[in-house]
Amino acid sequence: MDAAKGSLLSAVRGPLMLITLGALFAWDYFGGQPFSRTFPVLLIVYGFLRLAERLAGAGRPQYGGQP
Amino acid sequence: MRPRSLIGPLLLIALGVLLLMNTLRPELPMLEILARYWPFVLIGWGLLRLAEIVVWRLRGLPLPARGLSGGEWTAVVFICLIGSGLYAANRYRPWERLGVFASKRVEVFGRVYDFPIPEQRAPAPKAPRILLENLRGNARITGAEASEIRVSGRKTIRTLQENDAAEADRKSPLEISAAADQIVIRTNLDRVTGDHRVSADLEVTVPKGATLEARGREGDFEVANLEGGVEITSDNAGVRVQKVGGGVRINVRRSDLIRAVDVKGPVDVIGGRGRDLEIENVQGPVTVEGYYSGDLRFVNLARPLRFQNSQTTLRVEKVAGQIQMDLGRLSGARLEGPLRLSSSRSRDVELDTFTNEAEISVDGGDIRLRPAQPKLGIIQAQTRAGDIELAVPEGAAFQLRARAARGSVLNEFGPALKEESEGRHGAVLSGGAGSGPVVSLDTARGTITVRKDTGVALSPSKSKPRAEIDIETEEGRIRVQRH
Repeated sequence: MDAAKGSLLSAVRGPLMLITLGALFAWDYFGGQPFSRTFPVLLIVYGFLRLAERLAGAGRPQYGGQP
Repeated sequence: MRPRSLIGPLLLIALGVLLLMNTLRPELPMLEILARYWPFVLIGWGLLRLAEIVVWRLRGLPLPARGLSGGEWTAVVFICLIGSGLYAANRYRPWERLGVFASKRVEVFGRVYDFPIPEQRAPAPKAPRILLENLRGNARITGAEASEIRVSGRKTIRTLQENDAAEADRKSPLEISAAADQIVIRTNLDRVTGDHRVSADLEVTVPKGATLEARGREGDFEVANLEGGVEITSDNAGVRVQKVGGGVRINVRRSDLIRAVDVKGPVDVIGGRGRDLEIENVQGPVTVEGYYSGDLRFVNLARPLRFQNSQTTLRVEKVAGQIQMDLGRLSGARLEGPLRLSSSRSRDVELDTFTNEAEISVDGGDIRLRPAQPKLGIIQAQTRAGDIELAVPEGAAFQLRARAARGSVLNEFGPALKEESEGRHGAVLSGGAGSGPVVSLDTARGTITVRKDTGVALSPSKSKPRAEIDIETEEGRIRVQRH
């Protein structure tokens, strides 16, 4: 498995989600929109990250496919 | 080798520093800082991990399949829950609204300083209207043969420093002001701001003919010997009222005890949540609203009693004897109907010597009824799971319709009643004596017993079996109980 090369995007996904989560809470506490309104941003960020992974991995064999 | 992250040790160090700051510098509001800035822990954590991943990648080390492990996400969820909880608590400060404590720091590290409130007197008319405002602290108000008002007491101030306490005492002087027949007694505790917890315990003597209106946030009230009305409003108070000529109105959100004894006027209790309630010797109508987790006692009420919350409604025309009630039981003796009890809770009901109509409907629990006189009113008793027992007075005329949808009926009354089975598991007992009102007893699951009243009071409540199983047989059902 070429983990070192292919999984950079999936490796940064967690930290980026975490930063987004913290930023949304901080924005709420320091005068921005309440978290109850901004939480869908998490879904959007997650969606974009997955999309980027798919696009980056498009040239490589899919999971479960024949090698 | 898989690279190890630095986040765990760093988080531990941060936690240690925070705790150390809290012990070494208690005056720093660490909890408040934490409540506001915790999201930056997540951001910092994310940035650090991001940097780590970039470094690992540059060094050619294998990258983890996922940036954050399942365990780490669990920790994140916990941090979010605790952080938002802290933030909400810090922002809305529910303890302040309840008046429990002004500041945790003062509560934990402060010291208590006592200041006497020197006695103040003010002339008063024979029947003054007295308004007492004391934010926190207990007050005892007593009526006496006097033409003046006397107030004395003690102020308790909890602060970090003695100077602050003296300052708080100066800022909150006791004031008595009079305008026409209205006299206002004010402790001015609301003028003290900041990290202080101030309460004033008052001893007030007023002319006997006074009418009292008392307001507070936390603290008990004790009122005695007044010929006018009494109105008490508080967020959290125990209230004891005795010998009042007018009406009594008690409006408290929380209470440990509400007691009203010897009241000539109506009694209205609007309690949010309380523990015990005692209402005794009242000549006016009694209305009680709220939830009470302890014992409720109603004794000798000359006019109708109405008790209500979203689970239970009770109406009795007159309580010549008493009603005792807790969350699982209601027993009453010498009651005058029409009597109406409906409860969505499970509750054992025992009514001894009542007259007139009775309508009882409970979600579960046993019902035991013993009407007082041969002249019965319409009786309706209904339980979803429990036994019903009716003791019919000698010579009573009635038409019985008793039905156990799943269970049995027991006829100890005599041949006037006929027993029939209904369906596979049910039984019906019907019949009657003379042409009297309808008595209908209904249990979805249980035994119905109808017997003649032999003059003895209801046997004391049967002890609940510790274990109980029902065995279904071809012939019927056998209940095995272990006490």
